Amino acid sequence: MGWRCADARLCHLPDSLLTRVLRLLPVADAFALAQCSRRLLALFRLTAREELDAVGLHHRLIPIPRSTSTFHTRDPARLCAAARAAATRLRALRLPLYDSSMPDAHWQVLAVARQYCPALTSLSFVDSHDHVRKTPRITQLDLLHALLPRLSHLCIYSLRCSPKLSTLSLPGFRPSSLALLDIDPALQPQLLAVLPRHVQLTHLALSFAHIPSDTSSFSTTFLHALESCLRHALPALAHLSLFTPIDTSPLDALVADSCSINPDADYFATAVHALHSAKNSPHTKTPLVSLTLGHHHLDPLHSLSRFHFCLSNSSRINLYLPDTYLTHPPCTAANPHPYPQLLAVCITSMSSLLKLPNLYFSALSALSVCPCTTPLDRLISTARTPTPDLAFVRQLCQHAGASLRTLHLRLPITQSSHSCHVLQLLSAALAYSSRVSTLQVSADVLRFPSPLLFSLFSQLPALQHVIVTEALASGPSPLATLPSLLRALRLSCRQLQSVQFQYAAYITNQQRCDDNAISAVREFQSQMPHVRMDDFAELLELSLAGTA
Amino acid sequence: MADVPNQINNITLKLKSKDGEIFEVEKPVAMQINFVKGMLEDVDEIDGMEIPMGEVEAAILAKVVEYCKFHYQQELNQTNADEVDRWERAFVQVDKSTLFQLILAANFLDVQSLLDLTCKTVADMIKGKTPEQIRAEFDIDNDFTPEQLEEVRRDNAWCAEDR
Repeated sequence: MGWRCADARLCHLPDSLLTRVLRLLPVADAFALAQCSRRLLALFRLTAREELDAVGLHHRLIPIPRSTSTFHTRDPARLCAAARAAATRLRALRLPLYDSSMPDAHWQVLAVARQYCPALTSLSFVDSHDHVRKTPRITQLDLLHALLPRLSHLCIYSLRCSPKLSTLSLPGFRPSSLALLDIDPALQPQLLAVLPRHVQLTHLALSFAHIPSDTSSFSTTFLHALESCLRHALPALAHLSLFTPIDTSPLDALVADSCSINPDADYFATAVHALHSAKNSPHTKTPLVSLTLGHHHLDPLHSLSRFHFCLSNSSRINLYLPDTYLTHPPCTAANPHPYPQLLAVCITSMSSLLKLPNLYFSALSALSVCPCTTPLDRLISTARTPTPDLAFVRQLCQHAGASLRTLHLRLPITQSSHSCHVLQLLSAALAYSSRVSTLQVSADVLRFPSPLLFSLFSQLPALQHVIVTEALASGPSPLATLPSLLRALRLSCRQLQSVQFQYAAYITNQQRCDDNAISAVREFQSQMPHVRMDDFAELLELSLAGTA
Repeated sequence: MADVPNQINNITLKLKSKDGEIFEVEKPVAMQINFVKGMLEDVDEIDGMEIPMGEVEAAILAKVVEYCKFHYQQELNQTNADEVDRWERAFVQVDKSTLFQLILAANFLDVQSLLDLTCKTVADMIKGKTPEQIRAEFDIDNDFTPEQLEEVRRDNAWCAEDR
């Protein structure tokens, strides 16, 4: 247990207990304690991050460990302290919906953000599956109003009342990106009155809480008005997202009805045609370059055929589906494994996109769309033969060819015995991607044996930026092969400019890396001083915390 | 202590400290120690069994048992909050070494309320002190260089604003 010493001292307490003491202190006292030793400082910083995560508060410079997402504090003062800890670097705030355990936390955090976060430009009230979904109580509109002038992005969920909507009309509020989600359809007139005020908008996302029972009238009226708005009032708009309602039943009814009566009346098809037509008329300065169509409850095959139909009528619209859409497909008894067909439809749809000049975006979207996670997971657990999944990645890479610059690979590798097989497939995909300059991989890739790591990076000679994110699969700590990764990067990637090790934020004290890894980091830093290394400091800090 | 009508409550458990001392404790009192509770769930016969309490030494185990007894009784007697507060403040008036061993024991034996109380006591001892005073109070070695400390203070200046 490590506490046999009769003369017990504060520094004999394990990290978990010191953290407990830190959490009981007001922030000024916690910081005074943090200044006593390097171990206490490291724990103070980690504590602040846990609390950031507790309110879903993220800032983009430092990733926040997902493993602490279940931590909840009931002390808003501590939440605010954590917000202030991130203060000057905080650019984006994401606040989950109302949580009954912290009824006023939103507003206290916003008050802090207003006072201490000059760099804040993005504010999102987001849906969170971790919390009971309730409409956030916007009880202090003045706080929101005070922040609005500095925001370039605002996302509001559960727009169910006029006061919130009227907030968007404040004179100083000029966002370039606006997401209004889960809107009460009754607010349509106000919405259509507010939108034209934002002539500077380049990104717009809309979804309604439900679609009224008179669906055809709703679609026609709303889309006609929106089309008019896009055509005349939003000249800069280039990215439009339309999400279907959260409630499944009216949507299912809508699709079923339209499908059985007349496919052309389909809501999405109508939307695509109308909006595309509006934005790509000869009089429009900015054509629509991306159209996001996201929803969660439709049969993927059914809806993808629809998208394909839409896409075949347009060569200038990107298709983007949220990850969740394909990683959690509804499987039915009649069609328990829709992936092969799904991929076929998806590739057909994508093929037209990949010819477009905005290939980078399309390919990236496609890769995030491609069902890497679940099927690859399946591949690894069932093992031996190639499945269509990585073949699909390969096909996308082949389409993208030399234009592909950014590659995100989520590889839930659990055991090295499978990694040869995965690497073979991956190599086949990467053979077409020799000009990839940014590679984002899950830390699982570190579970490749060293020779395979070298083999992987030798295929990416143009690599400039590497981002290692959290590990997806459980298994042996990927840190053991960190020295191999750094060596492979050093020897194979001559154009390397930065390595971001976001995975560091997910490492627990129990997993802290050994001396070899620390030495490898330091050696890499000394031999490649021009390469920017983000988040490695945390690794070293953890090491310090462990040895103190 | 109020009478406990339930016959089961007359059962005593033998808790054995690291240094071999046996504490005979009424079962409902011992059941406040989650470590003991969990252990009993896996055992059919407890009569005469000595339950080893890990690395917890007799002096500390005596304090843990005293704490559990008081809380068992105060629940039965509905002792008012002020009185509980007074008792708890007196209970943690111990030397620092004992206090830290109590924290470790409460953590190991999983007595959450005792862990809360002892951690809060340490937190109260820290409040209002400067880093230098905290180091002196808790015998912490300063492993920062003056430059590092200056940088830490500069980067986190906002933290000290409340003082």
